[in-house]
Amino acid sequence: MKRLIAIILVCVLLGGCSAEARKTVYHMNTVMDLKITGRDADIALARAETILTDLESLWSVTAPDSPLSRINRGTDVQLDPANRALLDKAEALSRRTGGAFNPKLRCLSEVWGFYNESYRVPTDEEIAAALKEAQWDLGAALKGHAGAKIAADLQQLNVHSAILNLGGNVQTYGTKADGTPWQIGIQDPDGGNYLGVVSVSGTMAVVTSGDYQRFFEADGVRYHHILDPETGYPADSGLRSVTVICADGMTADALSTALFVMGLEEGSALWRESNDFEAVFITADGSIFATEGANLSGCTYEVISR
Amino acid sequence: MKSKYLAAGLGALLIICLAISFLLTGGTPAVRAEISSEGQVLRIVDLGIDQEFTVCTDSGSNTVTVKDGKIAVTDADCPDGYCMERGFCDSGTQIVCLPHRLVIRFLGHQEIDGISG
Repeated sequence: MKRLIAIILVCVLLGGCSAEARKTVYHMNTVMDLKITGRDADIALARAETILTDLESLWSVTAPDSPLSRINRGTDVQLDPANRALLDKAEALSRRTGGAFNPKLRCLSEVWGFYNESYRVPTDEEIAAALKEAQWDLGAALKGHAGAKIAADLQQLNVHSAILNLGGNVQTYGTKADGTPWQIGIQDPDGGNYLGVVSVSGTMAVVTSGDYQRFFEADGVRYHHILDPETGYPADSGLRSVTVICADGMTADALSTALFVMGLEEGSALWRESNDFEAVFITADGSIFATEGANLSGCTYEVISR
Repeated sequence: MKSKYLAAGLGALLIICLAISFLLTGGTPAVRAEISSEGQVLRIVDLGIDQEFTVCTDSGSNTVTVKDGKIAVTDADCPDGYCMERGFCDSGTQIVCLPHRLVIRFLGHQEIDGISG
């Protein structure tokens, strides 16, 4: 009888652990896939959606009444300490990258038409004027922060593992049912296939910034969406994309943008003086460079060492 | 004595269930694509068969073409046309038409958990 009870218990436990919830949602102007496994999967999914909706309404640059838009208009907005800390963290990341990640480029993105898809090449005067304005736009860090925030929330629940793909920003949580590491492909900038696969364990963010994600053409010239805060033009550092692997989602997101702006040399130098991230660079000629801890496989690449 | 049989029966059932679940998840990967909108799967497409069809959602329509094992959105009445810019592909990140909330996802690449890009 005891054995019977034990077997039933094992069945119940196995059944309870394998509950999986999956949903495609549309937030932050992108498509997001959420896949959560564990007994609280359904609750976790609902809470993840709430987190996304809340972040979106709080930090929207396009909604005129969002707290961020009011801050940008100079209104004195009382923010929660946690939200205040998010702005401080964005500024710290900007300092860390020598300004290559800049969370205050709203006016610059606006003159390029990136908010309403009315793309145009602004005049030098417009760019100079836009660079003088320092209005918040957390777009280059918000999806990464969202992934990290959802991952932190999953910790409060009975969730075994999760994989969140927030518009190309991948956030893993916990360990897969079979115990093997997460395998995350890196998108080929020319479309089609993924170029290589990074292997990560546990809770980690894998974020890619690339010139192919958002762009427009004018007079035969291609203009992409990753703007260099120094020139005001799309960053021209000889890279097609940068992938950053980091335990903190917001840092991964901001660093992928920053390294893209900095280029291979400067980006490698930032990696050498840091110990909290790994990176994969794809250059304009299609060569791949990966830092020595990046765990990249499935392609030929050069290793960047300390 | 009766409980022993019951236990053996349950054990056997458990093994059969596990075997079936392994068979279901570990089959040979056929290259297929799943077309969905708002989380609703609209169509599963075998990329081995050349075809062309139009997918209509409440927001508009997209013409999808399958040729030489690859799939692309070849015509759409969406305002930005991003879905068409991706061109023909058979793997990688999903093809998205955000205005129409249409997503084309590649199936049969089980060794990958996600794609960053």
